[in-house]
Amino acid sequence: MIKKFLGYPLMALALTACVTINIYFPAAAAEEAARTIVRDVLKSEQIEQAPPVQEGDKQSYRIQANPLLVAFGLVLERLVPEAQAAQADIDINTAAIKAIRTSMQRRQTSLAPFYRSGAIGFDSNGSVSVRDLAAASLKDRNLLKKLVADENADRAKLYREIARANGHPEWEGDVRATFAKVWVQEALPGYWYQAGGGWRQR
Amino acid sequence: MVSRRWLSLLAFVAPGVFSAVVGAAIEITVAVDDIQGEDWRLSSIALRLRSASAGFAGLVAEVDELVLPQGRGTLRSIQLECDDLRNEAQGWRCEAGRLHAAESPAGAQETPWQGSFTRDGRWLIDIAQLKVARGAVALKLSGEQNDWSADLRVHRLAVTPLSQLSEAIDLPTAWGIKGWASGVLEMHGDPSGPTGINAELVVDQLNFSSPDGRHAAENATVKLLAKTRMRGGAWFFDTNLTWPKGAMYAEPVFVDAGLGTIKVNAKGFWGSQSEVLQFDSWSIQLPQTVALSGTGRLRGDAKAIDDLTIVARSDQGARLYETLLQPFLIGSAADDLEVQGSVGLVVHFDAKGIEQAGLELSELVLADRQGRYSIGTTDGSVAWDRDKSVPVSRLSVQDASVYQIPTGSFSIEARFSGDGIRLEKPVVVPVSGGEIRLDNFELVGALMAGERPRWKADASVRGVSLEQLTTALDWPPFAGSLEGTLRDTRYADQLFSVGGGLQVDAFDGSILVQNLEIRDPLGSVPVLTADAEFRRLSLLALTQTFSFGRIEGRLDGQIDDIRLFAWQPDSFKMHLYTPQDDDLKHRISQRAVENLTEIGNGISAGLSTTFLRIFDEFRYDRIDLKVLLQGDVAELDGLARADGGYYLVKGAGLPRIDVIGRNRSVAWKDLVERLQRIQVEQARIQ
Repeated sequence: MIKKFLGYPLMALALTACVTINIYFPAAAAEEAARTIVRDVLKSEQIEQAPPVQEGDKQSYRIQANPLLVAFGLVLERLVPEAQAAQADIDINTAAIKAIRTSMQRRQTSLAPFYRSGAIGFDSNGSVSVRDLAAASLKDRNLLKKLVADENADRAKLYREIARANGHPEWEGDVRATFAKVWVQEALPGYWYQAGGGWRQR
Repeated sequence: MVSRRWLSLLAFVAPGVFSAVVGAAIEITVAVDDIQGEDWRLSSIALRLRSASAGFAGLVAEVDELVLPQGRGTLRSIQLECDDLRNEAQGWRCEAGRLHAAESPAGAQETPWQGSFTRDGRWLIDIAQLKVARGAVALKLSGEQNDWSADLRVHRLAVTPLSQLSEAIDLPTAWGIKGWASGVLEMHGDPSGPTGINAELVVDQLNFSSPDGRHAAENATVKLLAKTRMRGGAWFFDTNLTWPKGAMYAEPVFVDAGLGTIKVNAKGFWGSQSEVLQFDSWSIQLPQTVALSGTGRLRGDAKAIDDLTIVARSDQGARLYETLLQPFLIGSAADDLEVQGSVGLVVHFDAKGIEQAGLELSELVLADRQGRYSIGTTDGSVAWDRDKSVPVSRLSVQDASVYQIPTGSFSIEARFSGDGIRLEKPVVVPVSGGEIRLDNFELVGALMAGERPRWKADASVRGVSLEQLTTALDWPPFAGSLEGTLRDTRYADQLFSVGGGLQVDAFDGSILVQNLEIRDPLGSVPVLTADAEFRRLSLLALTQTFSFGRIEGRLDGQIDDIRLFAWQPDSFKMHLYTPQDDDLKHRISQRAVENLTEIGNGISAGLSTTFLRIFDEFRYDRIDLKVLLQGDVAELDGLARADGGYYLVKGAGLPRIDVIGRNRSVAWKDLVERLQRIQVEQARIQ
């Protein structure tokens, strides 16, 4: 019984210890930063905000637990987020990132008709991929290819630069993965995105 | 080929019934159950021949079912009739026959026919109107001893169903090919097969799109005129294809016939035994774009190039670039150009790839639409050889520009061979009153497929006017000149680097730029990194240039870890200070004090509201300014003070003025705005 009683805090410690790994890549802050940039790029096309999180959704994640365990967990939760908070800011306001964002914003106006027609979509790698070249007129197909090449070059620079600007070039892959998720989440109605190895339309 | 099996069946004639004689009339009936080959079959065959008078007969041949070879479909209830079969002096003739099939791969058929068979072995069958692929076909077959010929006239056949009827028309089924074919196909041959084919065909309203969109046509009209003959085991051809209307896309090339009829000609032969496809001549004319011609020899099933010569000529550089060059340059710094002028090109391929090339340029002008660079009016010729030495190539360029910095005219003399370019003599490019001299230049990997282009060079800069240079860049005009040696300058993997230092003689002192690197210099967001060192700059010259207010004295300093992104400052570590051994007078004007105060604190010192306004200038001991820029925030500092502030200017004498900074952290945007507020006269700081 005593062993079982001691087991809960140890398990909680183990679980929260897993969370502390995220200190090295502040996923939540990165996601928020990515969302800011993505919305900014897409805003000229944006007609709807993402639906707010329903209270019921939060409820479904609550679990019933031993009050002592909850209290212990809360103490750890108080401590650990502070440690995270110290390094959780993601800086996206450097001249470099601004220049890339400006370049992407300018291009979005030209890309938007191709997103809407389904010629291109957000792929699972945080880039733009040609989904159906036939959805573009013959004379526009090379323009489309140029826009995609330029956009992907900018996106690659953006992910690299965010990692570098925050002092962790090794985060580039994590930044890219975060953006890949956020581009899909923020995709405007009618846009296509890759999921589960295939294309889906929002 | 007819198999032996059905011949034996024909001889067997299982339930054969024939012959009845009524007075002078003769009627013969033959019935056969089946005749079949390896992959075809005739079922329930009945042949009736009736003759009421000498020289005239009626013929009815009926077949219940004909299964075509190679799975091409089935014909059912076939009737071939001729009520007026005449036996003339030369042989039998039918003037008004009728052919009927209730069902065929091309639908039900009902057509008149004519035919004849002469005693000397000549025969003719003329079927006037078959319904095929939603269109009409007239077929005339004739023979004489061992020779035969077929004359096929087609009118508006739908291309897609047509392809299902003939193995020869092998179209990708998923491409949704639509169009209408009309014209004449004439074939002649002997028992061994065809010996000549002439075609005059038009495919109209041609539309298709491959599933991946990489190949497509819209409303195209294509006319083919071809003459072929079999001679000595080879097919000789002379073909002429014109394309007067519509557009096609074959990744990455898009061609629209809107500018005029596109013409393609080819003459040569195909040796089926030797597997050689020889073009004695070929040409492609894209109106108002380019004319291509040449010869060629391809070999094997894969049609690998054995020998190919391409001669191209274009007086329409813009259309040549847009149609045939830009699609292959997408993603490079040359994919968004405006082009004018004339280009001539000769390229020779052998089995290893490009062997020789010659390029002739006449009044060629290139300008990047994003304003990054331009090359004006270029004339000359370039010769290149993969293996051998070549004559010196000469190019003359009237003017050029890089990021708005214009150059004067210059010429290039170089040898282009193997995988690189080597200068024959230095290239001297006039820039802003001075010159950049390119002493050595080696480009490797740009001229061979599959290589990474990279170059290295040694260059020097002499007497480049900073005033002209800064004006061209829309910066505050600097006085002085740019001098320096750029040793071991390299470009590889989109990284431009300068091994040596670049010295700028400016403001009566010098600025030494070192560790200069530019990543992706012609990309959308170039990244520049460098270190700079200032030695004994005259503050008098500097402040006069920027109309900052007057300061006398010298200035030393350095800017380390400069990083510009898209030419905008992203980070640097700057320290400017009065050198210890400065022997000049140290004086600072009231206006300069005001401006320095504003830089440090964001507000003016307000000297003009105090008694100090009666003094035009003050003495100072030292100037010291440190700026650490990281992203959006600049950290300011100067000479340390005990009270936590820092001196930007430490005064001397009486009346003594100290400019003391209190703010250590300032938004870079605010600092730039402070500098912009200080703009006076024509100077502007950005």
